[in-house]
This record gives sequence, C-alpha cells and structure tokens, in this order.
Amino acid sequence: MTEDSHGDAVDDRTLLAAHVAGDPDAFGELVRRHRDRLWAVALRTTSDPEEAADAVQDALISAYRNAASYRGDAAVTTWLHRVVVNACLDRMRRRRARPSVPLLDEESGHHAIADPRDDLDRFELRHEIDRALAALPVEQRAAVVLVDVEGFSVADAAIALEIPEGTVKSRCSRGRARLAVMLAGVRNPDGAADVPSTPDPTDPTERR
Amino acid sequence: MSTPSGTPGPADDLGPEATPEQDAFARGLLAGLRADDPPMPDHVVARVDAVLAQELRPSSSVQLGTGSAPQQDAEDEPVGAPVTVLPTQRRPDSSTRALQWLVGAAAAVLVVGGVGAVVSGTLGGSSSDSAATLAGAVAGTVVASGTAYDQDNLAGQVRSLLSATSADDRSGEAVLVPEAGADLGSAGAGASAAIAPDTLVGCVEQLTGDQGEQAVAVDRATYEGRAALVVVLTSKDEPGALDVWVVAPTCTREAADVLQFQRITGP
Repeated sequence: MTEDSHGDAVDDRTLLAAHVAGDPDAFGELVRRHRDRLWAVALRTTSDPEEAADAVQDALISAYRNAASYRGDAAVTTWLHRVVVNACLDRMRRRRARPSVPLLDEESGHHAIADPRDDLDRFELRHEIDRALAALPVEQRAAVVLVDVEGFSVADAAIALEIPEGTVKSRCSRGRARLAVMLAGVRNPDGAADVPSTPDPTDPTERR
Repeated sequence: MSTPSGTPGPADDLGPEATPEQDAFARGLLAGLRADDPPMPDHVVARVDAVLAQELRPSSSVQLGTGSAPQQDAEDEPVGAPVTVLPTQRRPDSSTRALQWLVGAAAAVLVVGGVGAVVSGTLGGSSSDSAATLAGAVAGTVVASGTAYDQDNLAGQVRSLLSATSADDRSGEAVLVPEAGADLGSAGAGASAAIAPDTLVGCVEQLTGDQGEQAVAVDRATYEGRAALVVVLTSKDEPGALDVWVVAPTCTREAADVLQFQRITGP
C-alpha cells in the first residue's frame, strides 16, 4: 500500500492511518521514506553511531506501537523526528553527558565524504564541524541540528523538541555562538568572512 | 514514548547568544552539512527492519515446531528442565569446535564430544520432552563456542561456525545436562551457559514467525562484548542465503531483543 488509484504516492498521514488500521506494510513504507533523514538527525544529535542506531531503533519501535497517539497537529515527519530526538536525548542523558565521541567515519556512513573525488579541505571542514557540534550541550545540539542542518522551521523544531519556539531560538543562538568560537579557525567555503574575534562563551563571566 | 525534552534546562543558559556575525557564520557552515548527510547504513536498516518485522508477529499464536517435536500450544507448553551447554573441548584441528546437542528423543545417554568422556546420566521425562522440543526448532547444531562475534566479521565467523560444525562427525558428542533452576538468561557469556530448551525454542520461533522452521545453528557466545545468541536460519526471502540473528540471551517467544541482523549471501 504505497500508491493510490492514480499511481501517486500515498501521503504520510494516510500511511500512518493505515498502519493504525492494521496495514502491515504501511509503517515500513514510512520508515523507508524518512529513515535517512532520521538517521542523520540521530547521528548528529548523539555524535555516536552506536547510540544513534540504538536510539533510532528505540524510537521507531515506540512510534510503531504508539502511532495511534499521533494527533495530526504536525507533519508525520515532524512527529517521527520528535520521537527520534527524544530517544536520542534520553540516551544521552542516561549516559550523563559523557564526552561525545567524534563521529566515526566508517560506522556513521561518513566514509562517503572521504571519497577520493571529494576535496580534502571539504572533508576536513565537515569533520571539524561535526566535532564542534559534538561538543555542544546535547539540547543545544539537537536544536541546531534540526534548524540549521536539517532545515526545520523554528516552529517545527519546537514541535519536534517539545519546547517553546523562543527556547529553540535561544538554544540555536547560543549553540551558534559556541560553534563560531570553536570553528573560528576554519574558512567558510561559501566565501563568507571568517568569524570575527569573539569572547569565549564557555567563560562564566561572559554568560548572560 | 520518550520523555519530552521540553522543559528549559541548563542548555538554555549556556553561554551568550550569537552576535549577528557569529550567527551568519555558523549558519553558513551548518547549512552545507545536510548535503553530505549519510544514508542510514545497511546494517542499521536491517536491524530496524528486523525489529519492526517482529512487531508484526503475534506472539500468542506461536506453536512449537514440527518434525519430531510434539505439537503443543505455546501457552500450554510445560517448561522443560533447563539444560547446560557444556564448554567446548577444543581439538587441535578445529578452533571453533564446540558441542553439538543430540536432541532426538532417543538421546538419553549423554556424551561429551571430543574427549570421549561419558557424562553418565539420562534425561528425565521432562528433559526428553525438551530435547524433542528443541529438535523441532533447531535442525543443526547448538553450541556454546564462546566466540567473540563482532559486526565487521560476523559473516566470516558464522561461516566458520557452520564449517566447523558440519565438518565434524556427530558421533559421540554432545549434551543435554539438566540443571535445576537454570535458564537462558541467567548465565554469563562463557561457554558453560545454561539454556532452557523451551526458551530457546520460543526464541527461534519468535525470530522465524513460522511453525516448523528450524534454525541451522545456534551459538551461545558474545557479540560486541555482550552475551548473545547467534541464531542462523535459512533465508526465506533469498534462496541460498542465510539470515543471521544476533539476540540477547533473554530472547524469548515474546520478545527477541535483536542486537543485530545480517543476511549472508554467496559462498
């Protein structure tokens, strides 16, 4: 059950409703549609391929079992991201914010970035950004990943993270400030000016 | 469902907000990341597919396997005596040599393979039933090799397991030793793990979802450092392939707790 009578793809809401109604294939199709993006979010939120895999598995089982709780007030993909992000945050909190392990290229699938066709500088830049992201507090990281990496609107990120929009903005802004400091030495490939000299946001005296 | 992340926490008070320059700089860098988002790795896809496939399977209607095993309703099945898989007696020519279970109903006298020592004793009535039950679920070998399976080498390790066990003649080896009170999940990851046949049968049926489908081999071992059962099945979806399920030792008819799934194709 992936197409309607016109051959068009069935939308996500219909698939989820079909799953709730007992269609054995509907949820699998939903997963196939969104798994790569869910994986990317989980990977960047946890900064650990093993944690990401566990979180995605936990989240999708949870979503599978609790699909009837979907109220339809957000896009299905936003709801799925919410479940995945929450699973990631739960796992990270349980591990008591242990220092994040930089993304492992082979495990994470990032080996593609290291393809010889890719520019080494570009690969190194991605690596540096990932390392900097991994150094953010996990709640800031989750907000930044959804908004700045995955392109969620602040409103959708607020739904996914179950926090007010203002908190999303605040977490993103503080996260960007920290990233800007950590990445001050890199050159923006898009030609933007290097980040200006800034105070260290980890310095307590600089906190607002 | 997971706990909401919603309440403001320490993250909301960590550091100053970005200046306009910092904001633009960071956003510019981050926006380019998505183009390089890696797809979900195949092994994670397989794992997710496997656990979701299990969700589809009604656990209440599972019945024991066919063959020599008596057909019983899962809910009514009496729990047989737990048995112990004895540790491997290694042979110089077979590094992965383990024990095989003689699981036919006639396998009353138990012999330790490879060392020629007779573990004298017979299985009591309930254990014989368990042996017969196990025979319905596992066509091949049940071993406790203690192999340290890992993701990168899983396929090769399973091939070695099958090669080692199939190359050996089955005469004079292996074991069902009743051990009161033992169960599948109570033992450590060592080679002398206790396994309740009924639990193992239930686990296999949870994985296969079918009556009468038999595992090619089961190995009590470790996976990525964790105690695990490696259950090898003939793939129903791909002729000639093997489906390898790595599950926690707590695997039961109700829940398999899959740690890894991998399909092995080719020689």
